[in-house]
Amino acid sequence: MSGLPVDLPGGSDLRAFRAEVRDWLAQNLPAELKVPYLRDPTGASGAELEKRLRWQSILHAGGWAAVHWPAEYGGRDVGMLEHAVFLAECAAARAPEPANVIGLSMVGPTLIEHGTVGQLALLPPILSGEQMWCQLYSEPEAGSDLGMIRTHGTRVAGGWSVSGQKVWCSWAAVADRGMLLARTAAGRLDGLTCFLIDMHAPGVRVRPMRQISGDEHFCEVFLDEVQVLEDQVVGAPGAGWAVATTTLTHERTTAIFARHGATVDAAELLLTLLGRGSVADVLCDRAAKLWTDAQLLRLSAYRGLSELGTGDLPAALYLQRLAWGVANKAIFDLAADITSEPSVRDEVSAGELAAWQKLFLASQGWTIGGGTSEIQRNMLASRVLRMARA
Amino acid sequence: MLTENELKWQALAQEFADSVLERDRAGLEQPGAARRLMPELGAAGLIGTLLPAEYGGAGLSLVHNTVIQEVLSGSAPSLAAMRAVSAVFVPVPLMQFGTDAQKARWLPGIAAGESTSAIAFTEPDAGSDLGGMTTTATPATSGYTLNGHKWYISGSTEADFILVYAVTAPDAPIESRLSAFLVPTSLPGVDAATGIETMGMRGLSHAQVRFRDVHLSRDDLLGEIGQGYEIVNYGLAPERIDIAARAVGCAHRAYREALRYAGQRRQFGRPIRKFQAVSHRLADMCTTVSASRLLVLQAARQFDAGEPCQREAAMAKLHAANEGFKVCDDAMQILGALGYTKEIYPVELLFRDIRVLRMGGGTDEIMRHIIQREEYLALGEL
Repeated sequence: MSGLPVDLPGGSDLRAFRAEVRDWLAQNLPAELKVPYLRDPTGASGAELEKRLRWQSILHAGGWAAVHWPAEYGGRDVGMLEHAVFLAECAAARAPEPANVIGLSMVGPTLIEHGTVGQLALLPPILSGEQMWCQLYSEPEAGSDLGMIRTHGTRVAGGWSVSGQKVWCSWAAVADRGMLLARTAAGRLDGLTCFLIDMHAPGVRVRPMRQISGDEHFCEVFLDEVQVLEDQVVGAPGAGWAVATTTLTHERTTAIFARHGATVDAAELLLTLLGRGSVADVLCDRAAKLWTDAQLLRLSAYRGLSELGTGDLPAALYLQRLAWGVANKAIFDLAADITSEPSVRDEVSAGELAAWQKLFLASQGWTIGGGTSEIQRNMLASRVLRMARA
Repeated sequence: MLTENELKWQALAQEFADSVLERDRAGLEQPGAARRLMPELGAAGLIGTLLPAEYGGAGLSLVHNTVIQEVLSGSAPSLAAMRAVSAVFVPVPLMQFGTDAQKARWLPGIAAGESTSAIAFTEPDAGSDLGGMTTTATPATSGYTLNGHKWYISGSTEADFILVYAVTAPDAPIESRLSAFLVPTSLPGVDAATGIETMGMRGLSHAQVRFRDVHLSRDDLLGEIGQGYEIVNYGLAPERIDIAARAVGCAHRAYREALRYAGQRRQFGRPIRKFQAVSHRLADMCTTVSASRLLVLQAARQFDAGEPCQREAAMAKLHAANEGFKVCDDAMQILGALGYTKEIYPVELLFRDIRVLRMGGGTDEIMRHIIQREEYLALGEL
């Protein structure tokens, strides 16, 4: 990923920013923290989590932990364009994602937009990684449709009592705090309130869930009359959906940009796999197509950035999440076929084979989590194509 | 489409699946799980279905086998995979090429599920291309000495004997280069202990098998010297039909789980089956599974009738495994994160287990090659 493939608005200022990022990464990213070319960018535990925590502390010390935040909150006040360039350069340098990815990319921006002065005091430990965050939105009956949320908050003296069950909560097992949506009034999206939950409070129970890949990157969270103070409500009671929208929009657009590097790397590695044995022509064909798709994914992301203005997000950015999930599934499916060829299998170490297999399994969730492909298509249809809902 | 007798055996298999396999689904992926279930499966009469009664079998057809395999595979793909070797892969060539003594020695045990077997021809340099085989069986006093290395041999660690293909005439053309042997795993020099960790089919072993100066008697030779290639090819069609049936089983079960779930899961005020994106996907899944099943039955009936069926077996395997994998993928998409986790639904297991069926017994590419070759043969253009 060398050179910006398109002329982005911002001219020499953007080039200077990019050079600054590159220089800083070259000087501050330790070799032992660099991620392998084959990597799952969506979760971490154990040694990988420790690396990401360490990287976050380095970013924080250098003032790079949250470039898109306002400077007054420890950021660098950069716009979406610069943020995307920063993420792309980190990926190209093979830097890990910071550990507190939910805190930095979702909770922080949400608090900056909706939080009280007291809640803004939560930002410094998000930046440093001292307080890890998780998101507590989805429930067994409320996946794509958050209007079905049933976890409820009841007023008590001094605040609220929250009870219910959340599911598919990434990072909940290591989180100190969570941003939670609960129902505080009848209705659908209009009866929701956003709470900041202490994950170590009495009544909070976290149960990791085992995924198809064998990892336990997300959890069920049970809340049994968890006491939440009044000043831990974000926005007004009943205005939780407006708060959530801020979080979800960011999750589905810019955040995905950080992962394109891993996709391009995987597609490149597919090509090197072909050269390690005698592989059927049709598999070579598929590999060429997927390599092209990975390049197009990256180029379309830059194109979307080049079209950023002050209005709605460009169409090219809306399709990023959808295209990323589909592309990765196809890449790892093909890798399974290529590595099954005896002549290739003989040249692939057990560790590399295990990495391909694990990513094949993990990638099945990438058209589901963070908004299913069907929801992404709905968004494209309504917001880009302006099609009326049925 | 199925006879009354075939439906009866389907019901027997379903009863076994419901009462035995579904009681502990999590346990089905434990190491050795398939082997532990084989005696119970044998006692239910569900293994030796192709064998004559004198060897403990039921004297049934390959169609019966596919019906049973589809059911078992929907609950326990690993068990169905182990059963495949005992019910089809070994008995078919053994019945055709074996001596009465060999049949009497091995078949009753595997029909009862008291012993199991494996088939070993894949090597590091010989997967789709048998010509690359390097395991050798050289003449020795009163028999042969077997040396070599096989890998990804399913069920080999648990097996009591292995049907091994080895080179006995290295300079001969492939049609007469190989021979087949029935190798007891208790013989000195047989090492099947090195397991290979796989993504799916974890209920049975997949091991590297090494043979170091294994002494075989002449009684261990299956068929004649140099008949190995013929024996392999004789068994390929029923093997592929069996694989296709198991793929149908995985896909059908995944589809049914998705169908039920989509009818119950409510989002945005309605069951998700009311969204066209879901309902049309389910319709395509239903059609795909049905088409695969018909291809399997067509191939199996041709085999039972003694008709050539290489093309039909390849078509059945290609379609059932390839399209069945997509069905499992669609099922996972419909179930969302519930399909992605190991918590409640078997969809993620079916997805992982069906994947190898696109490769084992001949890759998708080999199946396409066979289909086209058979087509041009039929046209007289080869």
